[in-house]
Amino acid sequence: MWYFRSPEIVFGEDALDHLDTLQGKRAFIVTDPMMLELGFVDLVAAHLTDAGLTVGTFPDVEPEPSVQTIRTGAEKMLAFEPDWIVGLGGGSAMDAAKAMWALYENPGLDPADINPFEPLGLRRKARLIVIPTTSGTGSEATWATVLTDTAENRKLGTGSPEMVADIAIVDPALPAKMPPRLTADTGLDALTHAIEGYTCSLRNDFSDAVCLKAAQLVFEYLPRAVKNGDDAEAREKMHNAATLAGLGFGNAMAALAHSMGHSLGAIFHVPHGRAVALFLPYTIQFIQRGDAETRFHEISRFLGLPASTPDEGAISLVTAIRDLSREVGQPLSLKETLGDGVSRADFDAALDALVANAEADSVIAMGDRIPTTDEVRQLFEYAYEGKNIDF
Amino acid sequence: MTDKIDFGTEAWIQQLMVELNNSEDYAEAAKNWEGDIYFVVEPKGSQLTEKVYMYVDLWHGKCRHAEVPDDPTKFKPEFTISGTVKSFKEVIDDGLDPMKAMLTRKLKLTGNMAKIMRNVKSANQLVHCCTFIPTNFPLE
Ligand SMILES: [Zn+2]
Repeated sequence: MWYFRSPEIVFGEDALDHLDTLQGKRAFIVTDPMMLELGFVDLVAAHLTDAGLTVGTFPDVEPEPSVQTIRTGAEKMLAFEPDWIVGLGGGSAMDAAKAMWALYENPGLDPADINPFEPLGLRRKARLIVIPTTSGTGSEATWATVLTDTAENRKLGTGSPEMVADIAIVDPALPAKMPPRLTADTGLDALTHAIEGYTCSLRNDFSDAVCLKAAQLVFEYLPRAVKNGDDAEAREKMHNAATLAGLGFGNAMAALAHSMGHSLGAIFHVPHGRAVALFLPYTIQFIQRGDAETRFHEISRFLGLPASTPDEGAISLVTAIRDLSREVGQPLSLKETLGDGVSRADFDAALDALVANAEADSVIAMGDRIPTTDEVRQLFEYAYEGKNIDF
Repeated sequence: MTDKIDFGTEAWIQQLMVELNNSEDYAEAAKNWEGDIYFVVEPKGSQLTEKVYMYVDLWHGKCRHAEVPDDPTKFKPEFTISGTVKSFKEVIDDGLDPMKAMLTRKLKLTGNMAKIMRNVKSANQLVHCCTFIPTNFPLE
């Protein structure tokens, strides 16, 4: 027994118009200052007002939203009493909206106590709409939320199946203004979701289907979207790819590259997509060297890459990911990622914490090979130097 | 051919303690784990006549104590994992992913969830040790 959970997905040109048909009284938008600046908050609020709703806004979600922000937003929500919550923005805003919703429905709940194993009792007060403005996080399609515990410098990856949004508006006009670097970072996050979703231990026929399609779209359209932000077709395909990949890993799981990427993000504040995509080729090499049967070659075969054996398929996939990363201007080693501002000594000093954080991330155990503590350390070290994995 | 040990008995939990303490993989994966657990076996659909409580005290990669107490109130463990004999069999014998078993509520978990989520590696190795025990599951 297993589930495939999905919001109602409204996609394509003018998808935002769907908001005009909402039934309800009060909508509360959870978003970030950039969305205000870009005019997206006004745009969404206008649609909600057209639908006859009174609109409130919490525009203060920061990148990597903290537990404190969640508490503050939930308090504002309790005062406003919405029957619709609208998460507008990238992964941070949508994740924050989900977590605030959980606290709004359960006042006093500690965000750390949100978990997928116990009922959360959502939808007694409100339902959730998510509107992604980047193409990558997939948060619009998943039940996960990643918060930062600023006191412990640690990411808190949690969620509940009830936190899958009711409606996801996947309108390609919104990500059209993303600068190239953000387009690349988020697009490679989507690719990592597709590949880890397809190869993690909770994979299934339903998630497989969307993961393969998502991976194909990213390889085909990400370079175009990065090179020319006005390429409307590439923007639309990448927006769809991100949501498909979200459905894929959201109904399966993420894996090792995400545990390492979360850890790196918490300590060195590398953007999420850049971090996970950096580690992805190394983790594929590592998993492929294990005893378990793998299926990276199935992805390669679907993409039309050389894959006559599982090993050849895995190598092809690693090469294709690195070629794509280069094409869209992404770093291939951790050293290159961290840049001149971080010395080898800084990296070495952080290594224990990087390893401990990655090991404490539940998705570390979701691949076909689970690394020991020493192997996690080596993975970070090899990734730092840009060395192929040989253990 | 080794004789099979009935699941839900003192002999079984003692064997689990042996397997855990013999496993380098468990010792490695659970080196930071502190916490005791009740495995609560529900009698539904089995030959058991009442709930069985199997206790293990897990401490830094080792099992310090294992027991099926006559009186379940004897221990107040930090975690309980409850399920029917069939559900435990699916995880131990049939390869059902323990995370999946918990997400579908076949196994119910109580205790500090955040702590479990930070220790999925050790939970996996714990289940792996269970698979080494030649087990007879007393289904109906
Ligand atoms: Zn991601």
